[in-house]
Amino acid sequence: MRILALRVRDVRNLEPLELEPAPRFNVFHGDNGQGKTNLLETIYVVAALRSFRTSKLADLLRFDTQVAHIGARVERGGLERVYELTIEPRSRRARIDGKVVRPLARYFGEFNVVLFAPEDLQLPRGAPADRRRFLDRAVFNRRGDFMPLAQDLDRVLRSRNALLREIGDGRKPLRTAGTLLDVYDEQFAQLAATVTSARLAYLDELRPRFAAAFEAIARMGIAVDLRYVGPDEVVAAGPEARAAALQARLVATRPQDIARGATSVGPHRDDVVFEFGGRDGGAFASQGQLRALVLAWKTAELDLLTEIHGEPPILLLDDVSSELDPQRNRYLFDFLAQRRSQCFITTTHPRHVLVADERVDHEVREGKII
Amino acid sequence: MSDPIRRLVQHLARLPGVGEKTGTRLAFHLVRAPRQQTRELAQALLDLADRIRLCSVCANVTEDDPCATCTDPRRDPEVICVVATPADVGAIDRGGHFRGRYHVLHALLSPLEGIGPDDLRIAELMQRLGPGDGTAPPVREVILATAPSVEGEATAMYLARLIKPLGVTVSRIATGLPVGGELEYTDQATIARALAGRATL
Ligand SMILES: Nc1ncnc2c1ncn2[C@@H]1O[C@H](COP(=O)(O)OP(=O)(O)O)[C@@H](O)[C@H]1O
Ligand SMILES: [Mg+2]
Ligand SMILES: [Zn+2]
Repeated sequence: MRILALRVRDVRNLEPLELEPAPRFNVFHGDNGQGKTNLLETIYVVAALRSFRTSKLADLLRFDTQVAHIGARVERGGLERVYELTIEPRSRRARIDGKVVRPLARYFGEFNVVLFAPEDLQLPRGAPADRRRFLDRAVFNRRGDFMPLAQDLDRVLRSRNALLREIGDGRKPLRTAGTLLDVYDEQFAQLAATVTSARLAYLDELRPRFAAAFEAIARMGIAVDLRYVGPDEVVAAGPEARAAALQARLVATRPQDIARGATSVGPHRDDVVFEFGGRDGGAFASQGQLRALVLAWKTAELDLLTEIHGEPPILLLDDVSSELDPQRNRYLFDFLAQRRSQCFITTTHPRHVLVADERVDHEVREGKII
Repeated sequence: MSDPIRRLVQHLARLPGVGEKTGTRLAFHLVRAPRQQTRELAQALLDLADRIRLCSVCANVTEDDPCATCTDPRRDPEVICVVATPADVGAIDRGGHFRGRYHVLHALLSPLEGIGPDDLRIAELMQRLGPGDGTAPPVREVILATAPSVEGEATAMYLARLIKPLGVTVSRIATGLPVGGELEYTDQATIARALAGRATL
């Protein structure tokens, strides 16, 4: 798939933009603070209807404006579609081919954009919340029904927590609210099991590709793995038994949850560990090895999506080269040259981008794409 | 602002979706509108306050208590369809496929908004399912027709837990593909739900 045309109005510091991207490598260079990441964010947001930098889409509104617009004409499997997003301070509207899409869940699944950002390279050693987001972004591209599921789960989680607090501070006696809490346990367990199963299934698909990619990058003969960390019996249960295992766990932790006013088990507490030679890579791998682990994930993710959807996804590569040593950087661009993805690459120095063919360069200066 | 206007703005601003700003705009619109039109609006509000109430059986809005649906002898009194709002009753009844009775909850459970079971017309529903005085036949089935949202599902699950022990059949409306909808444009969550709730032919 590829973006044939992009149109942007009043997003961050970007000047009004009409761009017809090249089918393969689109390189945007410029000094820091000029709008390079803003441009990638624009593409990400029109595909995913959320940003990787902020949870509030309204942050994308150019300072002192009330409405922003992003439009992308996308070709996929010979079919063209126009995706449009209008952002206002308190609302957003998504359209496909001019028709308003409601519910928003309908928007997802066909427009796959993979982001690779320099922050990702610190992931194995970073906070679990960042790894969960990273994993969920990948699962979301894999299956279009994941985002609405995850959003429902988040709402049930917040509902359950609100109820726990009402019980905890005595506004509702457990005697009468017990049945209600049972309901939220059941609803949470069902959705949490579905989300956990989706994550596990994704990791199962990614794992062999990840290991092979790491070996190709590092050539060290060291075994690497991706291990999902959650309550043992929940992770070990099959998809059919997972909800029941979670529900049993919720019953066991109920007194503690009421005391804390928070739910102590579920996908929002799980983690994924980059294993390196049987240990937690975050704790034991060198800086260079950490980067190779993340690079291996990202290349594996691209190949997996290409295989699943029969179309290579669009890749957004945000200034990653400055964080990779020359050898790994070489690997990344050799890899991309052998694939068919349309790439949007930002860099402070165009010479970091090691592709020669099918390449179009632009300079980004003060929000203008030149 | 003069007093009648300020009072009106205050009242309008209490309506859902209306704030101080919209309330003021509406108030000044009414000041400029023909006097007859404003009087008719006032009369409609008075009629609403004096004549419309909630049916003591099903909690739907009505002028007569019990309402026409609850007293209609052609409607099956043994099947009750539970919905969130009076508008939902209208939506289901327009099709004419359902010939039982209704029960209106007037809200869905939502701890996030501080809405609990006591804020729903659940006591009235349980009253209808109880042993009664022997004059009305016992209820055979309760159909839970709340939305497939997080709140609608939670409400349905809660009601099912209360009602099932009474030996009454509890069913949930199916969610799935809209008739005449294009499969291609249907979101994957809906497709997944439709598949999970598939029926054998
Ligand atoms: N909502 C906004 N409106 C206008 N300018 C913004 C907005 N948000 C960020 N900016 C500006 O965008 C610039 C950063 O752009 P960015 O794309 O992150 O730079 P880089 O080229 O280094 O990737 C900063 O100058 C910042 O002030
Ligand atoms: Mg940047
Ligand atoms: Zn009635």
